[in-house]
Amino acid sequence: MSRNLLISLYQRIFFEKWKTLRPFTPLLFSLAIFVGIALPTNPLMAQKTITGVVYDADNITLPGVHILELGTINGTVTNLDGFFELTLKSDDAILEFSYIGFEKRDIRVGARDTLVVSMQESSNMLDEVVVTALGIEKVRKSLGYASQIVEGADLSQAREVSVMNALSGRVAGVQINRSGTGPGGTSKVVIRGYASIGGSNTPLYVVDGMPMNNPQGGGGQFGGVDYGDGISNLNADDVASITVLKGASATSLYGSRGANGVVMITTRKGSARRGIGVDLTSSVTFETPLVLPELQNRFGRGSNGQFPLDSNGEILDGIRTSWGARTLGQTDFNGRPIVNWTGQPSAYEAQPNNFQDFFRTGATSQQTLAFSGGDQKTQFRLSLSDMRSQNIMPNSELERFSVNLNVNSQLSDKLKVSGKINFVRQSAFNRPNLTLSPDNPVNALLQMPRNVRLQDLEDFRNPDGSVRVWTNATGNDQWNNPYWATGLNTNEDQRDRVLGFVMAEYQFNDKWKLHMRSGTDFYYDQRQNRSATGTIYRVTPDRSFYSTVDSRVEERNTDFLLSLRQQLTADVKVQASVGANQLTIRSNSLNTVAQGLNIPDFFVIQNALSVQSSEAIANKEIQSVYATSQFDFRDQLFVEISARNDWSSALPANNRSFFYPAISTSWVFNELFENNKWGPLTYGKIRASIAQVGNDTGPHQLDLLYSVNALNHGGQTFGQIIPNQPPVDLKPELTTSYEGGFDVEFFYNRLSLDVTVYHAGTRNQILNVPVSRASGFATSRVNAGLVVNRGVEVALKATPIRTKDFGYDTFINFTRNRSFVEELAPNVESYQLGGTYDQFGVRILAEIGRPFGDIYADRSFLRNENGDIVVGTNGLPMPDPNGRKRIGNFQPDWMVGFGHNFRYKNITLGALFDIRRGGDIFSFTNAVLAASGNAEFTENDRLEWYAGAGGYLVDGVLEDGRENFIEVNPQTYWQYVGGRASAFAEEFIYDGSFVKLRELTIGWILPTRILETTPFTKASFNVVGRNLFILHKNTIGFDPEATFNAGQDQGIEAFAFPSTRSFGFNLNVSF
Amino acid sequence: MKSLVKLSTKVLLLALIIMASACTEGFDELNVSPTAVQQDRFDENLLLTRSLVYGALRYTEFQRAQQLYANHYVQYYSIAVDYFQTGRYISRNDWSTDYWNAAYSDFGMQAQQVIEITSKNPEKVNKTAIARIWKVFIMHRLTDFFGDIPYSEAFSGDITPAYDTQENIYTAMLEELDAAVQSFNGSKTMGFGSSDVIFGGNVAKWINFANSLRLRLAIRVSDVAPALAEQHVRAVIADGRLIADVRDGAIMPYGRDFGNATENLQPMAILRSFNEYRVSTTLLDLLEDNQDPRLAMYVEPTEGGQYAGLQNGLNPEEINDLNRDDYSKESQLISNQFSPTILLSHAEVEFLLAEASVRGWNAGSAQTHYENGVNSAIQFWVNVDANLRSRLSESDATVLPDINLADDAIANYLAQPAIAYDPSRAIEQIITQKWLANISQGFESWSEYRRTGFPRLNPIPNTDGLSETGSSLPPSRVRYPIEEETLNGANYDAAVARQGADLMTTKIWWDVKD
Repeated sequence: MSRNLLISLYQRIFFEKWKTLRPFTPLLFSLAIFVGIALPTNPLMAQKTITGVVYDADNITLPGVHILELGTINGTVTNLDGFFELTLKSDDAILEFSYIGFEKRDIRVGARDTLVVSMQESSNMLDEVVVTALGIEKVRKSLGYASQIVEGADLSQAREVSVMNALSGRVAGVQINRSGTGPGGTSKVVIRGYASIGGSNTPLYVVDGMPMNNPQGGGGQFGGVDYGDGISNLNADDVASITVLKGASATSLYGSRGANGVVMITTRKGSARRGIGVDLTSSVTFETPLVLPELQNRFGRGSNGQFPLDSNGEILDGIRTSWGARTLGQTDFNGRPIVNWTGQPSAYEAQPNNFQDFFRTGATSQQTLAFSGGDQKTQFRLSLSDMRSQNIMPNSELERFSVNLNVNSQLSDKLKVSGKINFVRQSAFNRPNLTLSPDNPVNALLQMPRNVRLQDLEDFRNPDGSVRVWTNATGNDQWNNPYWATGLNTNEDQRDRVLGFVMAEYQFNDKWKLHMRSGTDFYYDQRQNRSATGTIYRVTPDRSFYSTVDSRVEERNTDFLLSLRQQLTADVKVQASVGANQLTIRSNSLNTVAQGLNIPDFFVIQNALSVQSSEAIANKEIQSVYATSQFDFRDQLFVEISARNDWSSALPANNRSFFYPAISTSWVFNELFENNKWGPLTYGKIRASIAQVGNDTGPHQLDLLYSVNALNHGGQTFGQIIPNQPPVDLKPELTTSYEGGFDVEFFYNRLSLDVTVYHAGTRNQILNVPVSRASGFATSRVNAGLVVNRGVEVALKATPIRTKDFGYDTFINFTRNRSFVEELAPNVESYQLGGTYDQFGVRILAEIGRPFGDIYADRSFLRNENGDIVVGTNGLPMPDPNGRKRIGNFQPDWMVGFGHNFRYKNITLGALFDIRRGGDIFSFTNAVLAASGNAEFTENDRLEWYAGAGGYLVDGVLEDGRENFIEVNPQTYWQYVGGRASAFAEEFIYDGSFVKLRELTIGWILPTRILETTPFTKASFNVVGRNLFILHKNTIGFDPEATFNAGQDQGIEAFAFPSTRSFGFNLNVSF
Repeated sequence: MKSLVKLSTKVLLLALIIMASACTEGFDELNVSPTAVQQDRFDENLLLTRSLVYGALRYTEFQRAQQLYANHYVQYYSIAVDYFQTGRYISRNDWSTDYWNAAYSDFGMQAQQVIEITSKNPEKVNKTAIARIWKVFIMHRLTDFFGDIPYSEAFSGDITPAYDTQENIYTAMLEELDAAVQSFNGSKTMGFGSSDVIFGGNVAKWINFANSLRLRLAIRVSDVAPALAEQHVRAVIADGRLIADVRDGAIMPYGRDFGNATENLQPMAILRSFNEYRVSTTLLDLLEDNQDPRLAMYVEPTEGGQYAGLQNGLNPEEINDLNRDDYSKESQLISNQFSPTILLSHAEVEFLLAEASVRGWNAGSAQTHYENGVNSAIQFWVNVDANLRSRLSESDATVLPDINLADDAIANYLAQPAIAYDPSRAIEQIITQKWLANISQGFESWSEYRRTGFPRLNPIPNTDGLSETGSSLPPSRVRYPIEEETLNGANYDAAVARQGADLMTTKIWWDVKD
């Protein structure tokens, strides 16, 4: 039988061959299927073509209405003017018109050539079908948990390089933080709070049903480069919609990897139509820095109000601060001309723009050309996309090219085959270096005294080839010339990525259906990092450095799902599915470091003075079976039970198998009333769920291991015990979540409210807990800890005005989440999140009995019982002998996304505000700027002090209880509390609240009468602005979102790359 | 309908079988690490090399513990940048934590692993003995740095090991050295061969080192536990196998070219390149005041040709106001990429014997040992100079100082009034000379300073009052890592209750000078 044949073919190809064949074989296979399926499509028969227009009850045309010729898969969608055209298959066609929120209509075409269709708003828009975990389609009203959908059109308008940034503010319960690491940097996405202490807390991304690997990037305290995250490889123009599954009930079928929520992305597909449709999206946006450091411009290089000159009038290169004289453009000192660091006479004047002048206007162009078409059997969409971005940092570029092909084919009445192949090449040149790296231009620029002229640094080489820098430093130094840093010390990365799958769907009959799917996500990364010969801070003999990383990651998923829909009794329907999945992840990388070069600035490994290489390999496999069934009682009470069992290769044999169930229920109570409505209430649902999700751990972590080092001494190789105490009887971790809520709608969806409360606790967390090093180990892998997340999500939508010419709708998403640490490992009272940041004088902790993410300072002010700062006899705050003190917490209190959309005839106006309340952030930058006297907040009281008529007065009390009256030199104060390493962090911690105008778009849709004179079927033009203004913030001189990595250690800003505002144009045409 | 159900059931079963059969088969194999091995396949020689190289301190640990703490405390060097605070007697948790962490879970643990692996095989008894000696070397530095620390329960895998008193630790270490020396067996496989990067597999030198280390430890406790000290000093002198020649000291040699990444790098060479410190006024003054022939060996003139020492303990404001280039760096003899790190020198053994003699423990003439020590200390750098010149190209050797030691230079130096042996100031002279001999080896010098109060150091200005000890008092110990409070709290609390508050000013057991 053909079915058996298919199964055996499936088995042969996906289970046997894959073990031996090269990873791209399945992709070639899928390509072969595409070629086989997509090319020989039947030419369209000369059938009748019908045109028409669809209106709603208010006589407004409805765009996007789905039209299907019943009994076929022939269909189309109305255009922006509500117009459609469809070539019919049969002589006696019945067309089904469907549109979200409206009653379906079936219309027999008969002899008509045109149709004018009027559609009524649905009394029950919840017959809308939504896609849930594993791609299972369910009626929306049946869901026992919250799920929020964002349409692709809303996202692609934003013209963000990473589609996740465009999601910011649009979904309740989701926090998206773009880090201060430059364009193409990692977006920190957290759904319903921080659950995992040791893990990543990153949601699972599922694109068209296939998980997409999402590596994260970021820096550490001494630098690093953010190579971006995996999800940003996706082209936003290909995205049809994004569904965010938040709680465990929604995600449990995705298993362990869905424990932090799932972002399901559906890409655009082709539809049947006459000829080939072409969509062109073209945009250009420009970027400028959004927040600039707040610097003083009244005092120049020097100390204690003096010129940085010795008694002979020679410049004192050692003085690197802006505590000098008032900058009045003086040209002489005691009758001798003032020379600057270049040795040339120069006026002593402030350079107000010596930071921003370094940057240029960034520009990003994104072009997507999509072809789509097909007939009743086979549809395809092929898109080509090209993105080029010029960073605001000179000599820094990002490019992305992608091809995406989607094919669906109804091979027979019962068998449907579909597939996708997406190729992405992303290359970046010279991403910004971060934090304390001397190559971070922000670091290099902010250290400059306020009268150092930027143009004096443009010539960045001395005649002898060494770095020309304003410190005139000889020997090694951490102060670099920003032009050398960005011009010569470059990095480069390229990612080639292929995502693809093939899927067969067999509809046995109206009850049974089988899906089988196999897909791969494969990427190859190459990275190079170079420091030019003579780099000031490098310690190799020639002061150069070169390193390369080559890494390959491959993830394969093969699954099937057998589904049944059955009417059990007159009142009860059941929808059930059973399935299985096999996941294999393999990664390997080769890291090569060259210390020094033979031929200067010739960056190739064989030119290295010496080479050190190391390999990293990881392999993991998870097998899963799962089942779900949903019972539907009279279309108003729904109960869904699901369960999954995973077998993970990363867990010990006896705990390798783990099971977790979920149950959810919803009651659609408006169905109790007459006509399913009660007064203005046209829909009401109460829902509740309990679910568990298990989670495993990384591979190769069960044994006590010894490794050989790449380094040696005198030719003697050495090795070590890996200081991770292996686990005893490691169990999978388990998240249990409870969720309840209600959805109500009034006036047929003109006003809707969705409220969810939840409580989720993650137990048995698999942690590499730090242990007392005296044990001989650094960490011990144990099951420990309990982090509880509680929260409220509210999504309110309203369409107050909807007339033919004018429309207004608005939405508010409110999110409040508390991540609270209830338990840690035995003997462990706090757990340090992320790296050690003693250089910054702060550390980020998870502490028992405290909210996740406390910020601690290593040094703090001594305070009396009233909390007043105690001031010593020298007029300076006294240090608290106990030193360490909690100074904040990075979790926001609440977040609100607030959007408005106006439409007047063909013109649209949209605005999105993003509001965050609370969440502290420490600014290392400001501590450094304080000590150097560059910060604007350091300029007061100086002249008074130099004149002997006042000074900086610390707001505090003396030891004897009197109010402090001892004035000090402002320089003394700011160098005491600020600076590197010895800073009092509490002086530089800020409330991270903000109100941002996240997005503003003005669009113009070309009306039909104009379009008729053009070859286009659709055209629109948008003006787009992103992050235009920060309407409110409490941080000084930096964006409150400016963290430097996507780890758990948020709440620190350190020489963050400036965030940008962007504005530009976006043109969409179809023909 | 029935057939369909049947068919569906078949499909489902088939799929389940496929999944189940694939399920856990091969999972164990898949989860075996491809890049690391288990103990049965490992080689203890690799562990020993790492323990030696890291235990002698690679540049990271050398900088964070020995340089930024001890070398500044005893005023070999002064911090010349505004972002380091330890020289102002301000705690810096991450650096002391790094040292603690490396000593326990890295080089201490590697030594412990060598002991565990080799003690399973009686043929390897000499290897076990060497690892035991080396572990004592690691642990004595650690307890001298912090005070009471986990010792008897350390390295056991117990994640909350108890702290031992320093008294117990010293007693145990002295006995351990004795036992290790006793356990050497000439009929068994000898040492680690070329993996032993300190003594090149020479077991006799390990015995000399063990006895010399035992002498160091015994003298360290000579004030607090004179009977214990005397017992061990007499035993070692009776045994007689001590480091007896300037060329036989325990040093960590550094190898090939600086740029060779496969090579372990000379720590001082790296630190010098960071350009963050200068020679202390204290050191320079002492060298200049006594026409010390080591002035050129130790100190490099500034670009202006001057010798200029930098005052210790300046705060950021004061540092920002001066020009680093006006102050002297240490010489390239000390921080050349081929220069050795001293672990325990012949000169030190002579100074220890001199002190033993002063204490009347049958060690011969104190003056002879003292003068031998000074001779050996100076000769050491003469030898280093010769060695470097034999290895460096002519152009690379130009960075070395011209030491130009006259035949009578040492004798003239020993004739200086302040230097000539004076029994009434014997301890001060001996310890001060030991301090000079152990340049850059601040661990030992800081311990001896705390024990004896020598050499005489200069107070730091402490203008902003942030010093945790006041201006004139170098710290008595370093604070425990913050992590110990949170990860090993009960044992930490017990140690603090016994030893005194976890502050820099709390004295450790052997530090009994007022």
